[in-house]
Formats: sequence, structure tokens, C-alpha cells
Amino acid sequence: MALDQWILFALGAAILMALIWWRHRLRPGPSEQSWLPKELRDAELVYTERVFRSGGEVPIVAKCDRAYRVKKGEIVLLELKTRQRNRPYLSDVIELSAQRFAIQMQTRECVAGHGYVLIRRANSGTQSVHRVTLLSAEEVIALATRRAAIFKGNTVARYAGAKGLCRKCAFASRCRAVTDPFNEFAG
Amino acid sequence: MKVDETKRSKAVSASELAQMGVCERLMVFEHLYGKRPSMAQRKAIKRGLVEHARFYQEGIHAPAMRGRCYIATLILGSGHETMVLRQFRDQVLRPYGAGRWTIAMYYRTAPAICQILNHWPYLQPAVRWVLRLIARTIDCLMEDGEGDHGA
Repeated sequence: MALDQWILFALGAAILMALIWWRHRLRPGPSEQSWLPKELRDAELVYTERVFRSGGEVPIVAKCDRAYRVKKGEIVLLELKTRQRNRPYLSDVIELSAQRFAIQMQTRECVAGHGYVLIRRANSGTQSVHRVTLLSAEEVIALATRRAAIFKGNTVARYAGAKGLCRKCAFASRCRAVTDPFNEFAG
Repeated sequence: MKVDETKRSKAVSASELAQMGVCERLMVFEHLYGKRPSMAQRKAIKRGLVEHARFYQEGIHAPAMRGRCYIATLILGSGHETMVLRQFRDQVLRPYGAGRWTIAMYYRTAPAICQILNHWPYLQPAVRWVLRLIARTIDCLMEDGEGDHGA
């Protein structure tokens, strides 16, 4: 085969590859039934992207991605996350717990003590659901109270549990230099 | 009104609270100096927003938006009668296989019926009368049932 034929062949192959990739990107995700946990397959989707406010002494505002009403009548929460690692984090549990608290306080409906984190992998587009146990209302209030105490300067903020986070952090050098970031700034 | 606004400004969001599970010190630094996401983090945030928008669209178009009692909501609005029909669906039909099949059939056909009712609105009063009759009968039966349980 002559050189110009090789070039044409390579060009054709490249265009074909680009077309396949483009179609793959446009293809809609797998149907809901394939990733929905068994508990939610027959449930009723009651809220999507809805904001709730708890009111009371410790007001919490939460936007829930999805809330399903299962057969028993209680509401089960589901939160979408897009990330590389296929695992739920403590922050997901706190977010879902805060949503649970806000929904319970606003609607007086019973929200399940567990929820689901749907993880869509950034590169592959695969998705999987993880069941997580949520914090109690008292624990959520305690967290909100601790947050307020940190901002008032009454409590010192803790370091991250995972060292990997510090490597990517924009404040890493500043963080190492100060003991209490809030009081440093206030002082 | 002012009290409400103060309360709202004091409210902490679920995502702000979730940040405590990542790093409390980062939370404070971001509060003091603003967010400083890296290029990769910015891309991830953008991707997350796109995925959330898609997820929302999937949600509102999915058959799982089963909470809607299509015909009843169209004809009767979201009042007491619609609530009664929903209760009937959840408490009487849903626990049984045949009931779930009925619900599934309803959700398969209801959107088309709604289209017909929207296209020929003069059909709506007759459907409204039938639905009201059904809702009232169910309401009476369910009240009786609750009364029996109570006794």
C-alpha cells in the first residue's frame, strides 16, 4: 500500500473512532431500574431537587436530590455524587443526614435512618449505589452547634482525617503555619 | 418579617455542614479567604453540575415519578379528593401484587388519557363527577375501616 493510501486509511480510522466516542458520550445513562436499589424499585419518587428548611433553634437548609416513598410509607433519600473513587464519604452521610433532619422538621414525615449515595464515575460513566446509615437528629444538631462554635472562636477546627486531602489543598502551607486559623485571623 | 430574614441568614446548608466531614480547617480557611479550587476541582464541580441537571431531568421524566396521580391531579387539583385517591393507592393497592400491577397499568395509560382530556376539555366535567364519586366512596370506606380498627 502506498503512503498516501496509508494516510487516508489512518484518517478514516481516526474519524470513525471520533464518531464512536462522540456517540458513546451522547448515549443516555443506563435505565434507572438497573441501578436503583431493590427497596426503591417499586417506590414513589416524591421529591426531586427540592429545598427544605428545618426552622427551630438550629435552622438547616437542605436540597435533596431525590426522595422516594417506600411501601412502608417512610421516605428514603438518595444523593448523587460524581467522583473517581467508587465509595461514599463521611461528608455524604452528613449531607444526607442534614437533608433528613430538614425534611422531618418541615414536613413532619418519617424519613428512614438510612439513605443511598449514587456514585457516577467521572471517566467510565458507570454508576453504583451505596447504602449508608444516617446520623440521628441530635448528632446533626451537635454538628451544626460545633460549626457555630468554630466560627465564634470557641472551638478549634480539626485537621482533615485523610492526609491525601492536604496534598491537594490550596491552604496547605498556611494551615501548617497556624494552630487556630480563625483566632489567627481574628487576632 | 425581619426575624424570618435573620433566621434564614443564620441557617446552615446541608453542604456547608457536610464540609465538616471533609476538613474543618479547610472550612474555616474558605470562610475567611474564599474558595480556591484547583483546575481539576473546578472541572469536577462543572461536571457535577451537568450531571445533577441530567439527573433532575431523568427524575422528572422517569416512570418513577409515580407520586403524580396524573388524571386526578389534572381533574381535581391537589385537594382532599386527590389525597384520598393517593392514600387508596398506597395503603390498599400497593401492598398486593395485583394492586401493584393495577398501579403500573394506570401509570402506563394515564398520560395518554390526560392528553385526551386536555385535547377535549368538555370531557372533563364527566370524568370529574366520576372521580369525585369514587373518591368519596373510598373516603367513606377507609373511614369505616379505621373506625373498625379503632373499636
